[in-house]
Amino acid sequence: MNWLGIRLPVLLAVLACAALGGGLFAWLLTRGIDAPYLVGVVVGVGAAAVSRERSGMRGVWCGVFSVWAGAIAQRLAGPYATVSLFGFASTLTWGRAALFSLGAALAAAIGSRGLRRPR
Amino acid sequence: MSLFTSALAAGAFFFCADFAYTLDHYLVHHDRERYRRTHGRHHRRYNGAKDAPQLDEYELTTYTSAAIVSMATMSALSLMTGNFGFFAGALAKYVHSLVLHLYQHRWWGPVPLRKQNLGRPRRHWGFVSARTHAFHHSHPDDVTFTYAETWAGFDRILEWAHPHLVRFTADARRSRGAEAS
Repeated sequence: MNWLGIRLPVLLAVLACAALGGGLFAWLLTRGIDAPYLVGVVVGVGAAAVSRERSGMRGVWCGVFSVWAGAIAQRLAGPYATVSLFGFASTLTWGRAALFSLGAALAAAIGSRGLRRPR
Repeated sequence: MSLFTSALAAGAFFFCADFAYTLDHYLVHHDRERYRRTHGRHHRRYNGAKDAPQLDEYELTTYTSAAIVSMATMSALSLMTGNFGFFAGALAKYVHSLVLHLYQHRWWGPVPLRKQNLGRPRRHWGFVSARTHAFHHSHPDDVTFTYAETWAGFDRILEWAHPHLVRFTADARRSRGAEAS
């Protein structure tokens, strides 16, 4: 365990899933589908799939990474690409903020679980 | 985003984090198992003559780990609200924790804390002094609560709530379980 409170392989898996979820979100944005909560689902499932035990700390990290991945993804593609990362909040209507929050909550709830069989 | 709202957000996070710290500090002192396993070593260290660095690896890891999680969650909140005061508050809390602990550890020297007779701090609602925190290390279970890190008011509130709150602590649960069996 390190200062982040999660093992390095799990952290790498979470980061990879955040990139994957962000990519999926950005791809959908370019097709007019705004589904930021998908980032949270991908991150959560990815983290749970490589973990054996429950961990609230891992869930927190999944939630945080899902928000950042979603924000970076919409900066790279789709209708919000012209808005800088620091202006991310200005792209959030109440509805979009709720969808991003839902994504973070799903990431935390799913990511805190351990789906791998215990040794 | 005005400086005022940023400062307000930073202050709000700092206040909440300080409350969480104080409550958790109170709870660990009412959980013998957890105290023995984790926090107790912190007290044992400062009650002997100084024989190690001001902050050891365990302490630095504990404070830094909590700070990293705080800063990460606040960075997400700052991103979503556009108010980076939340992140600044988390950073300030970490700096304050480190500075307070490093400062109060100056009482840690060749003469053990208990023999320094620091004197019980008075009950007040102002800011916690480093001396109060040093007193806490030598008298962790004193009737005057000294669990807070920044605002002593949390200690006063905990003193008021203690008769009710203590029933929900791990020690109370354990003793109820022992009585039942």
